[in-house]
Amino acid sequence: MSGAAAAPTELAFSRRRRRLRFASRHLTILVGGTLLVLLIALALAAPAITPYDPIALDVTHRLRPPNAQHWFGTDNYGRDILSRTLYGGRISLFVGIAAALASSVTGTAIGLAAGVFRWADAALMRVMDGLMAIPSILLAVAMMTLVRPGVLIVIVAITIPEVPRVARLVRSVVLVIREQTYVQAATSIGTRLPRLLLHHILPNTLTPIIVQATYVCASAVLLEAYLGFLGVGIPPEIPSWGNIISDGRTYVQLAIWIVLFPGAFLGLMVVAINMLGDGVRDLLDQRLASRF
Amino acid sequence: MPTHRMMRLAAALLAVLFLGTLTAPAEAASDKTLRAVVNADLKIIDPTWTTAYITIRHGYLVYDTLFALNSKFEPKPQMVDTYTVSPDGRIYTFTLRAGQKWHDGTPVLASDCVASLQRWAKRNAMGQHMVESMEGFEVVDDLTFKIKLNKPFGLVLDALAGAEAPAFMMPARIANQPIDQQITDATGSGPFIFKKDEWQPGNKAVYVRNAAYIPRKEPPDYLSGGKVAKVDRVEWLYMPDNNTALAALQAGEIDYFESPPLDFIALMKSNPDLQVLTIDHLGVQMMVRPNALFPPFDNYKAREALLYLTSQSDTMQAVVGDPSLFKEYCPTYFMCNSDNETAAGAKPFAKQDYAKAKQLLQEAGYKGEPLVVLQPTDRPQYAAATTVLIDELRKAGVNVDVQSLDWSTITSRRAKKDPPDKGGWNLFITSQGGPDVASPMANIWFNAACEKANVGWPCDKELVGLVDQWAAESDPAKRHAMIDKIQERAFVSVPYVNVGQYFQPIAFRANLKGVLEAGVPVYWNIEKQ
Amino acid sequence: MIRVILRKLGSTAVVVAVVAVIVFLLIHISPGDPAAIIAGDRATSADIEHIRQSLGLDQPLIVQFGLWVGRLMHGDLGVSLFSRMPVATLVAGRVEPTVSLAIATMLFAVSTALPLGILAAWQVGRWVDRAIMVLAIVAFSFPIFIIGYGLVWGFALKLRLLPVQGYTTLANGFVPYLQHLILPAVSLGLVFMALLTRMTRSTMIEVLGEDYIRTARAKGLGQLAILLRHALKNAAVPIVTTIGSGIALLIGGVVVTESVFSIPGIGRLTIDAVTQRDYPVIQGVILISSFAYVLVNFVIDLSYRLFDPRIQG
Repeated sequence: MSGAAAAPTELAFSRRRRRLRFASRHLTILVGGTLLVLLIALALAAPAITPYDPIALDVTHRLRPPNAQHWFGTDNYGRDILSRTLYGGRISLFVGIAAALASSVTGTAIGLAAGVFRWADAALMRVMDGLMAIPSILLAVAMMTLVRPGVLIVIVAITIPEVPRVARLVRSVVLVIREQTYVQAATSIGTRLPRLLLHHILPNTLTPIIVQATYVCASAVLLEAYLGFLGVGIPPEIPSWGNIISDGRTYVQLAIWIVLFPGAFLGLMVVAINMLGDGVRDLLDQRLASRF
Repeated sequence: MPTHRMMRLAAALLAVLFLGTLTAPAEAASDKTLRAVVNADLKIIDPTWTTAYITIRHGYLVYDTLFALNSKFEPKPQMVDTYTVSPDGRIYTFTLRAGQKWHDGTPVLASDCVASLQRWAKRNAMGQHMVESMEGFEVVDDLTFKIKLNKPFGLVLDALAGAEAPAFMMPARIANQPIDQQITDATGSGPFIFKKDEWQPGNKAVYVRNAAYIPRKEPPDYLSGGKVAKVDRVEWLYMPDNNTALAALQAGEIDYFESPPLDFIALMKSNPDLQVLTIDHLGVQMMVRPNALFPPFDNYKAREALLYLTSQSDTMQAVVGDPSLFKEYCPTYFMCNSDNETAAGAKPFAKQDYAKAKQLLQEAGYKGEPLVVLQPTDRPQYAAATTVLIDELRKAGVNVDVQSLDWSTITSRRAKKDPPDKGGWNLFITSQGGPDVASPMANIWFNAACEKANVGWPCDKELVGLVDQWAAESDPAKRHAMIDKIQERAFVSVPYVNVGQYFQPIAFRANLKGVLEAGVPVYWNIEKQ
Repeated sequence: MIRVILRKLGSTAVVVAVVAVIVFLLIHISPGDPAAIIAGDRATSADIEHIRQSLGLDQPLIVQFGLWVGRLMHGDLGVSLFSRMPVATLVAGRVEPTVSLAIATMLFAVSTALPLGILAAWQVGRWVDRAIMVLAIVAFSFPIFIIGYGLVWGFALKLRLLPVQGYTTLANGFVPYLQHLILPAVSLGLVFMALLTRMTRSTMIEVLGEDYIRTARAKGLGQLAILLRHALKNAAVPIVTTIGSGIALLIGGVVVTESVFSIPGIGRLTIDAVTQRDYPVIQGVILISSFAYVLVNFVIDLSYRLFDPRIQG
């Protein structure tokens, strides 16, 4: 970013932009972070604070609207929605974080390999292209029908479509950095590859990876819900937001609370993660910009 | 400049769209079109290739049958005009009504009917039993043919009329195709004609009125009597989202909802634009099917334990909810409300008893190993019943290994004879429609023919013998007296467990008149006002 | 130029071939038996075996693959295991709804996102900008089916303004066609709109900080002229890229939207085929859609050259 000196011809929106960056950086991280911490706390504390067992049936109390005994109402089996929502948060968080981590690690490895080793580049990128050409939901659905459903498989099915994007991102950063003079200088004095990777290349890929990871996390939480909606998600025994909403969609007109509460929590969690991602990106961008 | 180019492109696009509207014919007026949401997708149009109910319903629209059941479940002549039975009960002679034509205009001949029967019997259980007792068919002339038995078989007319898998009549040129080839030509002689060119599997099937159909003179009675089509066009729509179907019915975009989720019934009853009707007074029976090949359910005591730990009312509350739609408790294997309803042998199992179940399981040698229960992820009613079963098993001290799979995987896994811990299974939930369940011979889950039985492979030669005797008896009164013995034996060897009987009403717009209580949704006699 | 195009086509052919093999293996190894589903719930094991043999499903995998590829070379995508209709016919009948939905969604998203993004960039830091960003994040974060149900409840059931579900073909009238597409396009488009708004805003902000913008301002050009003529043209490339990568998102979202609004499109066809294990249909659809995706990206590539004369072959 070229110097935005306080010259008489500086545009009004350049000045505002500077002020915005400062304020919003902190505001979005604050709001997003607080919301996320709150949701995580609720999810982690679920076993301690939930009044009912999330999978316990009570067929005599089906489809009750929110009341004193069941703050969020009950579903078509008589199960307590509040307990299921909080437990569902654990699964969604777990899936989101695991998918984000897994795709980041895998994508980074592939991206580094493609960027650093020219001979591997073409082959790896073709495979990444192939994977990206198959719509992620379809790929996930196809994978879910392959094996016995379980949380682990859902994570794998969600991770795989996200890997190509991370790989491409990392690869493009590596390609840019590779051309930088200081890297070429380092190579010319004989710096070995591992040191090169560790000290020069990897640190510069961190920002985009972290930012991308937050978006992957948000997208994973959503994708779990979509897989549940299509009937190929986490096994129904385990309460996840996708399952609860999918089960409850028949009852949208009769018992909207089954979909409303998990849906609201789902939306809030994704909003929080996205805001956090935005804030982190703005923050790290500043620092990064000053380094170059 | 790009913007000019884009504007020109946009203008061209809009022009094309408007041209499209000018050249198109308007859709047919909708007051003579009946739009129904069906409960499954019509994927296959050959009723001898699949047992899927939706294909049978398709069959009822485009084909006609020799006999049809009335509300007393008595087979009445439909395509047949007159028939005689020889005094010894061995020779049935049928004469068809005159003037019946296939959809392609050619006349219906007795030889067509014989060919259709031969095809039907190759796949249908009742048909196979009948053919095994037969010497053969004989075509006498264009309108007359005979069925000649060499062994007693009292259910000839019932088999021909069978509600859930009737013998549909087709032209001989179609019926004579090899049995391992699917029929792709839906020509029949029924009150509606299938419009194959408008068929979109997974979305829509279209039928138009057959103007050349000659209905019987009698008023309609269940599936028998005159089948008069009073709408010009019937459209079957498949909607995977039940909530969408409900909203469409409320908004008047569809007229008829075949299988609304039972929880919607109360909401629909309170809507003055809609009407809810139970057309099937036999309903559906849900069953728990044990795997009799492997422990513990290879031991009859473990199966008996299932009778004690399951509760019909708990299962039905979870699956159905609304008490007006299920029977609190039905003791019989053969459907309450049916002719064969009996309480023989059921008394000990009327109340749930976890202690007794635990004890019986121990006696059967169960030592706490995990039992595999298959739970479908995409069949909500089965999933609900399975959830209840799992809960009940756990309360009886069973270690449950739940396998949540989609229906496609379940249907292939349950056919495997591997040990449960190596890709097999111990228990799953299924259901069957009333008319089949009510007959010990038509009930495929009741058949305890060991190797030849349906998946689960119950093995009880005595039970099979009793049912064969029942089928061979041609006097209905004598047949009825044998039911008690059959059921008493069933409670000893337990081919499956009845976990509830419920009724699936249909819902439709209040401006439809003439909806028949025919057990299955049929679309003749209905008119829109 | 031609050489570039040919080279690109060559590499896309490789990609499509890779996809074909992956898909074939994936679905044939999966458990689940189409023969059992065809036979129906009340069939016996013997029935299922008959069907399996008639359909050639009992042959070794390599033989089935060879047969499929052989037919592909002749342009024959095979027939559905269930309805025996040619896969090509099935797909052709479903293309119009999906393409209509996709185009309507794109139009909605682009026509709302571009103005919103530009407005947000112009008013950066003010409450208008904040409001737009919050709206974008919320629209981006809620599942499509929840938005869909909400819209149906509000506009179709309560206000009776639009139909609840379904699709009517363009040939039956433009107005019903449009009416049936509005709610689905909005449900699906909100997500896309949110992404595009954010991308537009951030790109515009960057571009607005460039020197030539300052020059234009110094020359005395009005705000609007600067925004539209200079800034937008140069922001076009990343925006168009986002539209392109949004297509993959679109295809995924189309599946869910078609299910909620009962639109007989390719998304539903594929999901049904996957759950039923209708192998020829699954293989055919994924092949065709991968091909389409690759084609679209190809077109996007070409459009870069329209917008940015600096980009060479």
